[in-house]
Amino acid sequence: MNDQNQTGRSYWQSLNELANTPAVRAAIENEFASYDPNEMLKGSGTNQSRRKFLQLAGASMALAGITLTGCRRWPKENVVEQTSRPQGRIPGVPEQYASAFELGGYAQPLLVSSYDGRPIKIEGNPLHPQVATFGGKLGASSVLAQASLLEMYDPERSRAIVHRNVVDQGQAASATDFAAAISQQTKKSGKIAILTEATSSPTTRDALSRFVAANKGAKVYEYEAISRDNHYVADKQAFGQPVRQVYDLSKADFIVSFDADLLGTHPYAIRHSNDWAQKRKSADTTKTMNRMYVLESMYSTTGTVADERFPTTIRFIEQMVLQLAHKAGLESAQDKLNSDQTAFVEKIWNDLAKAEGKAIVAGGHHLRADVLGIINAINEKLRSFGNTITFRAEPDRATHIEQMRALVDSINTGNVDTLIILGGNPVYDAPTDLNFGGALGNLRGRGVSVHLSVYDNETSAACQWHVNRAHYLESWGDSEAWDGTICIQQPLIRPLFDGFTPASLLSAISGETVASVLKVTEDAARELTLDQAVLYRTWAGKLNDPFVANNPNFRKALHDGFVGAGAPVTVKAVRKPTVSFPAAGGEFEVRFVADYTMYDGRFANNGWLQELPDPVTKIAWDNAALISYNDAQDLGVTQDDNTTDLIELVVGGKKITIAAYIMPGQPSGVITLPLGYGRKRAGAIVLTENPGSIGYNIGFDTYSIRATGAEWVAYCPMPVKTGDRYSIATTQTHHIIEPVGMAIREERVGEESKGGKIVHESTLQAFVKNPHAPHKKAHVLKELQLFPSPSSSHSKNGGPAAFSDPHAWGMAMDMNACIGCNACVVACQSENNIPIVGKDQVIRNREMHWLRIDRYFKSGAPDYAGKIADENPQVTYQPITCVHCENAPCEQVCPVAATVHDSEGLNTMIYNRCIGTRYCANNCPYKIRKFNYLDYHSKHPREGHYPWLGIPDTQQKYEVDKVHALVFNPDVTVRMRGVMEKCTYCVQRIKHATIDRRNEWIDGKRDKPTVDDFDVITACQQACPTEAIVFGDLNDPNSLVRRQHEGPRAYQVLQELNNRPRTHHLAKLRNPVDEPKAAVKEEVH
Amino acid sequence: MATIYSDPSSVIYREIDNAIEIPGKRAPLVLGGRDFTSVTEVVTDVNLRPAPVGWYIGFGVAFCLFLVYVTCVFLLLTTGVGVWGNNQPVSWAFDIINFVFWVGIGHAGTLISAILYLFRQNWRTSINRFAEAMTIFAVVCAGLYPALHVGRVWLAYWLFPIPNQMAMWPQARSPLWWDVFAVSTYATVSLLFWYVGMIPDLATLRDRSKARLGQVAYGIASLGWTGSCRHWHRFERAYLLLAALATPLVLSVHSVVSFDFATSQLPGWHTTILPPYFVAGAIFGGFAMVLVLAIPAREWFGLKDLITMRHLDNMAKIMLATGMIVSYAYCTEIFIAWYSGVHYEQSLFKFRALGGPYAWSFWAMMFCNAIVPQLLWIRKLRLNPWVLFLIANIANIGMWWERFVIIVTSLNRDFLPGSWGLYWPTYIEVGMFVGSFGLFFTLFLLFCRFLPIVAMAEVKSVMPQAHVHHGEPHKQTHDQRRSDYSPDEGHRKH
Repeated sequence: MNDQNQTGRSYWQSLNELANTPAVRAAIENEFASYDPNEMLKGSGTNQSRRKFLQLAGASMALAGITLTGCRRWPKENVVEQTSRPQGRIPGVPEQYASAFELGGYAQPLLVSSYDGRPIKIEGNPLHPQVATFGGKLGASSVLAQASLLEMYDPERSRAIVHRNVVDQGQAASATDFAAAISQQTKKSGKIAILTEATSSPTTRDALSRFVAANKGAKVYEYEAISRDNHYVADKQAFGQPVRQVYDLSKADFIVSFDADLLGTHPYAIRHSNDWAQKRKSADTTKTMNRMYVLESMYSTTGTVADERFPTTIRFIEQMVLQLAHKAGLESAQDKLNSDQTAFVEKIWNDLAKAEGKAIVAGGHHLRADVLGIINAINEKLRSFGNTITFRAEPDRATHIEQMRALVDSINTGNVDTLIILGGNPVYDAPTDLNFGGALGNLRGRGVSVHLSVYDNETSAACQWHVNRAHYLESWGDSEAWDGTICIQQPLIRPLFDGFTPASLLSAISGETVASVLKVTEDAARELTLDQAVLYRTWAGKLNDPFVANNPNFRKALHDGFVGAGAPVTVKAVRKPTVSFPAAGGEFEVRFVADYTMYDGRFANNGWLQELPDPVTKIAWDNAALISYNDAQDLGVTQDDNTTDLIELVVGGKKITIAAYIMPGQPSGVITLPLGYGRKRAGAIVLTENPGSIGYNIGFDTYSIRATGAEWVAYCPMPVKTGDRYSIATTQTHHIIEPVGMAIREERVGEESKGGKIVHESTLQAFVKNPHAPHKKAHVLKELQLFPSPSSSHSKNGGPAAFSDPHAWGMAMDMNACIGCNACVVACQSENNIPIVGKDQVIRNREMHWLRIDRYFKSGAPDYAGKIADENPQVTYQPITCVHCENAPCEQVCPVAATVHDSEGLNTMIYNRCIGTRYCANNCPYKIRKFNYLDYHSKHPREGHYPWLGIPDTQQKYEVDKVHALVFNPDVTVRMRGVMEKCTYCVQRIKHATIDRRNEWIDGKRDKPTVDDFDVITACQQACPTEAIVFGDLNDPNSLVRRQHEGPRAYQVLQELNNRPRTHHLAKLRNPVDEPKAAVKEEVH
Repeated sequence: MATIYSDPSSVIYREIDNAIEIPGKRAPLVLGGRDFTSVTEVVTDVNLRPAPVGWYIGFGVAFCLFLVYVTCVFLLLTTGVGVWGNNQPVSWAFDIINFVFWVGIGHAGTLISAILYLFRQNWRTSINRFAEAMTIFAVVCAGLYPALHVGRVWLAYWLFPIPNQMAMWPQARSPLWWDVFAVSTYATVSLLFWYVGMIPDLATLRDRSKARLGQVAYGIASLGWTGSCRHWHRFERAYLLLAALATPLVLSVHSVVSFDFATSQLPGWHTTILPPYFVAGAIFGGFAMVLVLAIPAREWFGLKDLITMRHLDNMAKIMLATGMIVSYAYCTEIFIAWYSGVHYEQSLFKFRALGGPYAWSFWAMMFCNAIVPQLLWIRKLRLNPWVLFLIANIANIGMWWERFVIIVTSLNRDFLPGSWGLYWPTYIEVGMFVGSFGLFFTLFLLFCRFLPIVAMAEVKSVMPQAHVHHGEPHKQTHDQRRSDYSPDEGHRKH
């Protein structure tokens, strides 16, 4: 009997079914009755099969081929999970840690974002008073601090200890070999010298003193190329104790800068800038502004925002200091000054005389110490001390130059046989007449030299041992900020390539271990690193708590990033020096300055900084001798869009050939030479010199003519044009534009009264009289639209009616506060994975920065030839990034809908939809869309571009260095070649915030689903020291951005095009001395 | 097709200047005492006789240039658009200049074929075939540029409305998308028009070809043409319809190309005059290119009797007319910029004409397109092939500069002075431009070698022999008509 009967089936249709034969069962089991999976393999040769084959083949061809995606090999990716999740860690959510970055001996407080264990973004620590902006809601950070992130992921960073028995021939060595060799050497040697870069780190100082105590006869020297020693000497003389001055610009109505770059290169620049900016923004509320006088020998960022600027030579600046002292009743009158100069000093004194306790007079750190002493006397006279200027203690020491000279002498006289150099790069940046490299050569034969450095640089190559230094983001440390707080430097990641800190190296050389340093068991020590142990030891001493790791004060310091400063130092009355002027040593003054991006040269291998245009000259990837237009005429120097003349300078018998750059606003008779370029070993990978590395031989090594006694100011005879040309990359068209272009630019940039269209500016006086003085509304033809434009009415709460659900994003850029410092540009680059493109591409105008700061010169001279000759043009900065037009011209022309609007007013860019027609860029009136002409992430900035024969989409996967790729922000797409990109208003940050706030609202923790001010902070707003950039929700009537948009100075750039930008600019106001126009003109010449 | 004269050598003829207008008389369009047979022979000889050495040399040079093109495209595709000099702010440069340049050249062919056909301009018959070929090849050269200029070429097919799994559709407001349709429609219709018009001649080649390969290939290409009345009837209808279809395209394609500029917001692009201005410019440039091709071709291929001085004269006159339209447009643009009172528009023309970094290109354009063609007022110069060749070349160069002026000078300085920047080409884009001539001439020389370069059937239809009336003795017609046209001395004088 079969199964069928057992189930009792009673309905059937065929006998076969009823019989339930095996064949029938098989047929039933077969899911697709007529389908034979083996049909193809049978090769029966029947027509049916062949036809089917062709059908299937055709169909698969069609399916595979029709969208060209069938045969595309997608990159294979592996997702590896964390084996155990650290407590409290949510994968993919960035965490922020306070840390600090030491530069030139002063800490910059930071807040570092870490994404799954790797630091990806550096910001200022909002808790720290030195960098707090928006009342402590945000923290600003300098360009250098932000860009130091890239250094950490620099594949060309030193990765190992190198032993060089023979000059320039190194081999990697193990840490134990090194420790053995060096501790043996230190034990037997009685002549140890330690050369350290300037540091205020208590831990390093503690380690140094322990080392000196343990090794009798060891001496410590400190050297820093960019040193503020003239101030140090002047203040020590004046007050009888080593102090530094802390300026409080928020209390200063009048600021007089004698060549001091208070807002630029000063260690306290962020606080200065913010305080200064608060006194500019007050124009909107109290109708008052501070007034800044800048007398300077080059165009600095501080000079660009001066209300009254006087360019002249350093010698005259120093004499004008004396003239001001004379006005203050401190000195006899200067007979060497001309009428313009006396008039300018007169003007300053008119303000200062009535500003007791509300003024600051500052001097540049290159002025002679006795002149700075006179400035101290003037400040005392103005009752600045205690009011606008307070004091912090400095360690008592000899000047850096003296220390360097002493070290070189003792090496050369055989008094040193072991030299340990902690950081720095003295072979490159020590005064050329001391010949530090030669001294190292002398030492090589009879002693041992060790260099601890992040890069295997020039000094490393001259030492027997190079020890790789752990990057500050990888190691423990501490240092003192300018305002006296001590910042804790907390590592974000285990060192990528191991390495020591200065303190841990000294400790290791002394044979110490974690266990011996902290006096704990080996087991307990396993949890800690040596640098951490050394730090704990110091802080255990400071806090008087051996278990410092659990000390609540230490934990708070770790969390906050700093320990509060004690009370300021009080000083005695000023001892005024007498000043004498030695004879000038030559026709031209040569001024050495720290470069805005390279600083002293240590950042030479940092692509972000190399590509960052100088704030004033806009030169990228180079330095150049800045000369005035008149001097250029005399020398016959000419420059066009990309090339300029090379000139030969002779300073103190040393010759240098350098590109000349004609800089408007540069006083005649001064040649400014930025330091930090022309590095020969900027980024070599371990043992090999790598001429292709980013920083190799870029620009001109101006240290080569910098000697003791003339570290800042030197003299030279008239330079000579060599006749050769040099190509130079700038991110803005040079100022030499034909008269037609100048006239047109004048119309666009000029003041409102002169028909200014793009840059609106006015004076405080005019603004107070008429708040609409800075600008008038443009004439817009709204009815002439090709496509319907978004509703121009306002929603019921006053925000825009279109693209406002639930937020209406908007930005305000305050040109009155912008100092052009570029912090926003680097912040944007870091946040949004913006590639560097290299000098050749910058020359091609292909830099990728989403945010650029347009710099316009302005002067009153009516004729254009004379305009160039005018040595004192004013500068206006206009930061421009995508303004997110509601009626966006780019969106209408994209053939593939790759750029579209979202409901909240973002002009979004869909990278993987973009095919790169570049039409949007053509139609963008702000020209702020950037196109990936090449695969810039994969392309080395110093090398050419090569054909890539693989699948274009995978080029980055194979070509981007694996270490370098760690720097990418995972929230932002890394764009490939061939796509357009632009500012997104940091959409990733918007989404983080809006989703979180909305979830909180759903959970009942908030009363509204939308965000508040400072919930969403764009990277540029975050970084800006002057609060010039504000972002937020225009729907919210109380939001800062809304209030700024409704303020009297707000206007839309190119409003006449009816693009309806969501970014409004705020007109610039200047606060010149109110006097008849003719007189102003007089004083310029 | 009946052969009227069996022995052309029996005809005694003298030089006729058919470029002279004689009131009341039609100028002959075929000279040299050609009859139907000799027309066929002179045209098919080009294809069926062994190629002259010159052809091989020419083809070799063209092919080498084509290889330059291929190399440059290879570098472009594997490296990125960065191998060109395009930058920020000049995002379009040689790519779109050359696209518009070639599309413009591709205009004259269809204009000659379609519009002149509809207007019964019989003189078109001698030149329409290779003018159309020129169109097709120019459109090939043109069409490649927008496809290759995009950043991600492998995704350029997204410009086409293909249903896809991304559920994305092209953006219909973008003029670039209109371009895709305009150019592809134009290319399709032009190709069809060219091919359909060629069928009777291909059949002739099939019949006359001695080589087996030729017989088969021409046989397939001629689609079974037998010359029956029914075939002729269908052919004439189809040809007329295609002409009617192609005619609006002549106007539309360059108008749409001009929309790329006209609908944008950029000063110098955002002008309503662009469509007519572009069409006129295209016809101007297209005729110049036809002249550049026809003058040597008639010399080298012995086609002087078919492409007569009258043809050259007519084309020169069209160039003169369209050149003046273009010049008028240049002036109008400047006038409107001034009249509009729009600062940005005015500035742009100041840059273009007075002192911008590329002002020289504007004056090069003015010289080539507005001044030099004025020489064509002089009849003597119109009738001198050398001069004509020179002027046509200058016009072509001028039209290239026109596109350069429109694209580069508008882009390099627009609204914000902070974004102004210069552009200069790299050797790769220059190579690609030169190489595109290689592509063009490679195709054109292949065409000359293997396809009938003169529309034999159509030429015959405008010969007097085709219009003999019943009862008229065949033999006297030609001589009579020729002597009829012979002008007396009085006529020659003016």
